[in-house]
Amino acid sequence: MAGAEMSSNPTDPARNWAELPRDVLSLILRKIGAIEILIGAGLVCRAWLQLAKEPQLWRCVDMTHHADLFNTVDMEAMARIAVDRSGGIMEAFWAEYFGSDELLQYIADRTNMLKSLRLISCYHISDEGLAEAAKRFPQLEELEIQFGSFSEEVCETVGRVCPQLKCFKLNTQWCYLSPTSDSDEEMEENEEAIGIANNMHELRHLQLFGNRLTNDGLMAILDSCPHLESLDIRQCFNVTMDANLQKKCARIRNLRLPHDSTDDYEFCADIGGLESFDNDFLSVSSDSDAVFYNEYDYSELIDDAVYYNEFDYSELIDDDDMDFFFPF
Amino acid sequence: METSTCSKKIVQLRSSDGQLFEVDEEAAMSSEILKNMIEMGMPSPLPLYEVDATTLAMIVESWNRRLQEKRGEITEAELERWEEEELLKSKEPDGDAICVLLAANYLEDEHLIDRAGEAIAHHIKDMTVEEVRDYFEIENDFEREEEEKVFQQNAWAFH
Repeated sequence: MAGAEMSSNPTDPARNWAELPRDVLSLILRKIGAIEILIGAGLVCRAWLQLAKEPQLWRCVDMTHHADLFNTVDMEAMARIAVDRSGGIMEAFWAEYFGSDELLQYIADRTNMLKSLRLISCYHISDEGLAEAAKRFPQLEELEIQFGSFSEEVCETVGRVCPQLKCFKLNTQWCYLSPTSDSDEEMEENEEAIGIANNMHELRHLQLFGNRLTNDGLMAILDSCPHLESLDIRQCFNVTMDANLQKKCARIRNLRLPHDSTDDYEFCADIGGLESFDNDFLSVSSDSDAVFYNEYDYSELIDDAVYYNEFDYSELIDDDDMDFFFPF
Repeated sequence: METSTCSKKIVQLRSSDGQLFEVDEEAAMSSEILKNMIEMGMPSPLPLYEVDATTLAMIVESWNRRLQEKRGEITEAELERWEEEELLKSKEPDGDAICVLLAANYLEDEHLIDRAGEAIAHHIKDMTVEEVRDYFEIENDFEREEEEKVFQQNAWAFH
């Protein structure tokens, strides 16, 4: 690696950083997010623009954590540029507050290497759109859906076409509904869990924050996913951990149970529907003494949030042994 | 800045502007370039043609601190804080991160390359195009036509 020809003296006025060694500049750009490159660093001068077009920079496209830009920037247009620049080698695509069925198809048309897909609050993506796209990503290993508007069938449809899924997150907000003793309702509540149990046998990491699954659904997952290492079922208040479930969960290295703390959960952990109920209902017993209604401020999506592990670009680019799987 | 610790071997380095530094050999091995020179038995002082004395002083101190951390004399947190606040001065606009990065790149010190790169990236990621140009003192070398084309293609960036 050659050094720069210019003086490294910081007070030297002659420095022209447009001539930073390519590999150094590339390193810096790799550490800046996709959006930042597109609207900032990548437009500085010719040399930087050229570098900003290199496919290696676009293997992992993280377009999350930019809620502030939502109304001022065309995120979909930016996403398409990022996809184009990746030259077919894009392996991870993370979106927040934007996204459409058409965009997913655009991605599917231009890469067959997608391994990680994260969709956070992507309310304009439909069930069909996701299902159609998933069919074109059979090598998908990580799928995260946070606050989507997908139906319960999503687990079945995606699980069936993505047999290599190792990390699945389907997180939502728990909402208290009127209690009924309708057994059909129990089946509905477990539809996602059953979809997972029937189709996602390769899972190592599963997070179902705020899911409605019951003990039966959880049992089905535990019985069908022999490789499970981490399981996060916080705020899954239909689950009551009994001795049997505890025994089955003993092999899980990283276990978060329904009433566990949500302090390190990056997203909103508010619980809905509480205004309909009196306090007696709220004091349902659990194994722990913890009060389970915890009110949290909506957390700013900060880059160094404990829970939400940032994808390390440099790991991906420098190391062939790409490890996508982060414990919770 | 000269350092000699109670550790066994000392190696002598010479900066691009001729200043001599004595460094614990183990600390110097943080640099792949120096590691190779040492293993090949190159005679002292080892010449570093592209690192001046000011920058080399900072780099040597960072190596010594990493050695202290390795030996448990300081904590990882203390090391990181020093790197961020003293070495890279990430919180200040005219920090030395760029100099450190160039030197670390030349010296092939992966840890420092990563840290300095991180500091710079963190600093510029929220900057506008103009601000990045000012920070790096880069001239806008787009021809007017080119620039218009680029702006058009990236129209969403300029709302």
